[in-house]
Amino acid sequence: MHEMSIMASILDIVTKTAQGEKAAKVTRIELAIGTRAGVVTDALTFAFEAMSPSTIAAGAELMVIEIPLCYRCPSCGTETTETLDLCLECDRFYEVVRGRELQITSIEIE
Amino acid sequence: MCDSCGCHPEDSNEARQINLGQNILSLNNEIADHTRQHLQEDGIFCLNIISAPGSGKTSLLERLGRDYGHKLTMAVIVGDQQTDNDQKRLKEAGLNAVQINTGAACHLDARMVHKAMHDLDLSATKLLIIENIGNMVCPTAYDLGEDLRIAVVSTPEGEDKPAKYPDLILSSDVLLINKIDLLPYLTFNIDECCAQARKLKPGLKIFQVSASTGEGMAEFWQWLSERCQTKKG
Repeated sequence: MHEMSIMASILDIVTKTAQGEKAAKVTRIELAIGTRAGVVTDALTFAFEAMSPSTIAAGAELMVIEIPLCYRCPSCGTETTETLDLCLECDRFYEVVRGRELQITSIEIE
Repeated sequence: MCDSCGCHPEDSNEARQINLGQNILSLNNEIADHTRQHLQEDGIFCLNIISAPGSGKTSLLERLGRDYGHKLTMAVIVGDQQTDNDQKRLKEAGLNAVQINTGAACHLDARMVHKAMHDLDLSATKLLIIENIGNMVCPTAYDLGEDLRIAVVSTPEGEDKPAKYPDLILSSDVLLINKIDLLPYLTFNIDECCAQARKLKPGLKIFQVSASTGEGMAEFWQWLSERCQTKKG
């Protein structure tokens, strides 16, 4: 249940950004969260509902875009969501390229 | 309209989008990078060990301390919710150790580790080991400044542990399968465990060990000590 501390970090970044832009309020927060980033979206939404009312982001819409796990062959660049361990063309191990993101993509302010 | 730039200050309450593209844990990661730089300057190799509670993290470190402590100076930062039991055990095994009690938190973060690092005398240390809170999910999100992340799974937990907890395997560089001395008494399929882990993380380095009998530890130690040698202050 580290989603509370993740949300505290999000609200900290959002508040500092909004204040720097001299915004009156934040209306939307967009996140990109990898499905294998160790974070549960529902728990994050719950943490937002619990923690945001006392902040500049009170009443904002939280939009979470989930990024599925994706592997890529470092040699030929072929991407796959299910690894077969080795790229059959290149005999190289697949590497994870997406799915572990923890990012604030954008915010909307007024 | 403003005379100097043509903006419309009367419209300033209109919605505007600010593109950030910022890592949520950027503050944690900055502190972790600071720790990494500090350890690089001092030539100290750093491990972050993550597993479920009871997989044998502390027992593995006791084994390293007792069998190899005379070959390489090691220090441990150990995290638990409560008690300094692990710190006492590690000190009895000859290791320089400091305990972090997180209270309610389910993971260590870079700030806690950086603070604890300054509570340790690391002057002769070549290997710093961070024993994370027993939890296979939350600690995986936090970079602590380590060179290598090690996941531990023990045989009584079942061979499907890597498949059930993919985030840990995906974020780890090495998997230790501990308690192999119990294999004769269990239905644990070790080949299946390795296959599931490598399906998630192709090419993953895996060692099969027993902290209590020492089986497999020499091979792990040889590999680890070679990695430590690559780090010069």
